[in-house]
Amino acid sequence: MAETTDYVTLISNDGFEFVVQRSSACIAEAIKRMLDPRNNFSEAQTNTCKFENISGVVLEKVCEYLYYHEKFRDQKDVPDMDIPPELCLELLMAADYLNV
Amino acid sequence: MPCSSLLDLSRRACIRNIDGITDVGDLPYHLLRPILLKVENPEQLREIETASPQICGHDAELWRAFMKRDIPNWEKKPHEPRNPNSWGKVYRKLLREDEEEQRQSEEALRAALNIRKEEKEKNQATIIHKAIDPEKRKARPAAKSSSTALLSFGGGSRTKTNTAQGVLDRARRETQETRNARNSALTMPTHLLNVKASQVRQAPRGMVVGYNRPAPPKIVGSSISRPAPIFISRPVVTDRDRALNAAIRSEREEKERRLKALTGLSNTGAQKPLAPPRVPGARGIASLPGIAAAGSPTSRTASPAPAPAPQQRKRPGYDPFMAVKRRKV
Repeated sequence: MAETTDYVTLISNDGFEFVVQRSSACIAEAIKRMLDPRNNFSEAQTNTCKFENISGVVLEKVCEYLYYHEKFRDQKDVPDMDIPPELCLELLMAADYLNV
Repeated sequence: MPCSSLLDLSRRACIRNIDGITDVGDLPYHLLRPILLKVENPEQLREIETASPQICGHDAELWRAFMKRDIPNWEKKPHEPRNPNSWGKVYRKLLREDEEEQRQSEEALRAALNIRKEEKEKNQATIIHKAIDPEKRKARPAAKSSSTALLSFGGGSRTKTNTAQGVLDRARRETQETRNARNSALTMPTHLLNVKASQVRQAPRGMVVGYNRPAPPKIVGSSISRPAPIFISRPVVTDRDRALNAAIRSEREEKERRLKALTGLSNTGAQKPLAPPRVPGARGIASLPGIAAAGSPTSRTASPAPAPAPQQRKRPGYDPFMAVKRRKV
C-alpha cells in the first residue's frame, strides 16, 4: 500500500539518512520518478530512496541544494550555493545522476 | 526557476577550483567538457588523461587548442596522430621539436653576437687593477704574497680604477710621479753632491776646437805681457808726425837744460841759445793729436819694458783638472 507522506528519506551508501520534504525531493527528476506511486517502485512504497553511488557528505550537500532551491524558488539573482572544492566533482557526478 | 541547477552549480565550482583537478573519476566527457576547456596546463590535462582514460579519445579538441597556442607553425607539421587516443603524445612531440629549434636558433644568434663582441673587445683596453713594474719586481723578488690581515694599512687608493676615466687618471698621475722622482734633485747621492758641480769630464769645446786650428802668425815686437788697450785705435805715423815729434822733443830738451841751469842742479854742458821751434804753426794746430800720437808710438817704439820677475808662488797655479777645495761650512 502506497502512502504519500510528507517526508521522504534519502539514504547514502555509507548509511546516512536524510529526511526531506517530498516537494523538495521531487525537484530531482530521478527521485521524483523513484517515489512516483504509479511506477510501483519499492521506493515509492517505503518512501525511501537508497543511493549506492552517493556518499553521505555529497548527499547532505544535495539536500542542502534541495532546500536552497525551494527557498529561492521565486527570487531572481540568487547567490550561488557554497560548494567546497573536494566535493565539487562528486557533486557533479551526483547531480548528473539525479538530474538535478 | 531562477536558481541554477545543481549541475551548473557544481560545474561552476569545479571551474573555480580547476587547478586542483587531477582525476575526474569515471565521469563522461560531455559533463566534463566545459571544465576541461578551462584547463590551462597541458601537463594537467595529461594527468587527467592518465587517471581517467575514458576521456582520451574525446579530448582531441583540447590538444588541438594547446597546439594552436604553444607551437608556432603547427599546421605545417604532421599533427594528426595515428591513434586517436594519443593526441597528447603528438602535442608533446611537436613541443619538443619546437624547443629544439628555438635552442638552435638561439645558439646561432649568440655565436653571431659573440663575434661582434670579440671584435669590440680586441680594441678595448682591459682594466688591470694592479700592474707589476718589471724593474721593481727584480728589485724586490720576495714579496709577501699572502697577507691575511683584516685591516690593511694604506690599502686604499685615492684614484679608483673601476672606470675607464679612473684608469686614465691613474696612469697620468703615475707617469707624472715617476718623471718627477727621476728628475728630482733629491735623487743625487750624497758623495757626489759637491763633486759633480766642479768635475770636468771632458775638455771644453772651445779648447778642443782651438787645438785643431793652426797657430796664428807671430807679430814681431809685440809683447804679450803688455798688450795694447783695446779702446785706443792704432794711429798711422806719417812724416809730418815724425817731424812734429822731433820738434817737440828738442823743445823739451831745451827747456830741461834751462831749468837745470836755473836751478843749478846738474850741469849738462854748454848753454844752448834759445832757438825758436822750427815749426811754430804746426805746434798749435797739432798739439792734441800730436800728444795723443806721441803717447802710443813712444810706448810702442820703446823697447819692451822688462816684465817684473815672476813672483815666487807658494801654492800651485790654477789647474782646471784640480779638485775644488772643500769649504768647511
